[in-house]
Amino acid sequence: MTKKNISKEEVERIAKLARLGLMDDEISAATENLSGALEHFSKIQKIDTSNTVASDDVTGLKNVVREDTENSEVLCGTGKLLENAPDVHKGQVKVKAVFE
Amino acid sequence: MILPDTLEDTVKAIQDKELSIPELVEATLDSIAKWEPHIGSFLEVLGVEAMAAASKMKPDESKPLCGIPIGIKDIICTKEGHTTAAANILKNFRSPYDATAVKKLKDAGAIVIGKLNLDAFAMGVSTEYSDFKTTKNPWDTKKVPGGSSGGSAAAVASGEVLVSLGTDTGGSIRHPSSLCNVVGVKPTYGRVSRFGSIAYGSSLDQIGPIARTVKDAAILYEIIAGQDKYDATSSPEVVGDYTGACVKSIKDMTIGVPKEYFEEGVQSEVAQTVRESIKQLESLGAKIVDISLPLTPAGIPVYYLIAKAEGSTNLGRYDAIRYSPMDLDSKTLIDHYMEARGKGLGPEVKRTILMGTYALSAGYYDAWYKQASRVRTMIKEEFMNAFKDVDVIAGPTTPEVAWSIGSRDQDPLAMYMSDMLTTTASVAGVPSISVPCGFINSLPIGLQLIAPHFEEERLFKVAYAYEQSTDWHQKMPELPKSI
Repeated sequence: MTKKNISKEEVERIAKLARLGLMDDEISAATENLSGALEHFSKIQKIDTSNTVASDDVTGLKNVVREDTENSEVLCGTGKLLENAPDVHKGQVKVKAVFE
Repeated sequence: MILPDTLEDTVKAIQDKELSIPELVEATLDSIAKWEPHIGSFLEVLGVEAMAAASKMKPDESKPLCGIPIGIKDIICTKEGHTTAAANILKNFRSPYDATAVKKLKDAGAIVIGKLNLDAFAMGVSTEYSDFKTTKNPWDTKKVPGGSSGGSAAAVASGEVLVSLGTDTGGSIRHPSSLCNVVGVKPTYGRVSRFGSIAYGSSLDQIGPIARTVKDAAILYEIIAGQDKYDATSSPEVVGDYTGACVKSIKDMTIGVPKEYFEEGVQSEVAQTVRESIKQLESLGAKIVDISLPLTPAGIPVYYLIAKAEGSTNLGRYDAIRYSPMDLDSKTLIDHYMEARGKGLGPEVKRTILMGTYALSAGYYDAWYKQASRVRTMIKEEFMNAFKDVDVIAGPTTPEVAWSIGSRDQDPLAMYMSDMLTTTASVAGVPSISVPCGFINSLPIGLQLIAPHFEEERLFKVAYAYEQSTDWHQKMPELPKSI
């Protein structure tokens, strides 16, 4: 049986994994909200699923492939995509330094 | 100018040249201008673009939506205007292409008139989680319109537009349709292409129509349904004759009524109103059978664990680098991610990321995500077993009528519970429709019908016969006198 509640430290750890910077009050509220929701959700752990497989697809589609040919159709070019970027350098999206 | 009330009649008026396309677009813009200060269903009105498109169009019988202005939920990509998902982190995003559903509507002659409000990234049931504004219910502007496609439902309910597109992950088309007295269709998973719909829960998301009548919804549905090479999960199954299914006779139909849809958590007035509508179906000749779907209460946990897990993965891509500039202090990329996502994402979206990351993380995956996926299989099997004996399942769409804006913002679980009757069809991937079935203290409520995979024709048939025997769909809210 998994424990139902989630600690503040766990919320901080998950937020870091998800690259989500949270304020202290957000962490407290999230800890409370998540604990409440997970407590309610824990009722599915009482359901016996030992003879059931997990569903990822519900309508029976399998191995959807296309013919292995060149696809020359382009929805839009790089230039059009870059129009959305706030900072561009030589046809590429400019980002901050990866290392300090 | 008095405009026809339905899409069907408006298309005819255009084809018969009783109404010109620019006249129709102008009248639609007038109606939007009149209602917007009261309800705020649009995030962006594309009047100039729509008028320009209208001036170039001529009545054309080969185009079933020739000149029809249509509102699009702002999570669905359109070349015109912005596509923000009602999220700050995408506020400047302009899509370089149309979603397949939008392209199909445009090819049929439709004109995009504007982009409609929603809860950011479709996460919510009231539009209160839009990063930009809350849409109000046209039937009572102190109440929520439901959600997440609240803008799409309010715009149709008020008469701003005849039809709109929404998306439904766990009830986001049906829920606001129920609260706003309009018809909303959640397709079988894979019936409509998801290409160009900004992803929430990829194994659940579907684009669907919202309209004032069942026939109007069927007209739109027939156009947007079908396989799409850009969405590998779209189905090769043959598209049905949905408008042809709109006939008044339902004498050959057996309708199952699950007792769990009328139990704890469902307002007694809602249960009573929906039971009356089921009696009406019986008087039309349908055979009514009491059934049981014992896994119904598992719908909320299973749906939210899966949707939040998939949502947290889909939201990993939002880094505030490619689209919207933000004024940040961070010097390095990792700090930029933390700060941009912390500042740029709203509260429910953050809950999605936290809950989803938790349910998928090492040590918790089996107990939460995998268990939810297994119960998902059982819910689907429960529906399949029920459909051996009945053609359609009927019950309320929502457990309640619209509630007051601001009354629930501190309680996410109470918000999730509003989806208690729509999520099981979502996780099973079966199609479902919400059709207006009455009012409780002047607030609308919807009857939900559910059919087996790819049997949408049954939904349109029963919904149409019901609608034609009532006048709920003819009721329109009054324009408020003051804001």
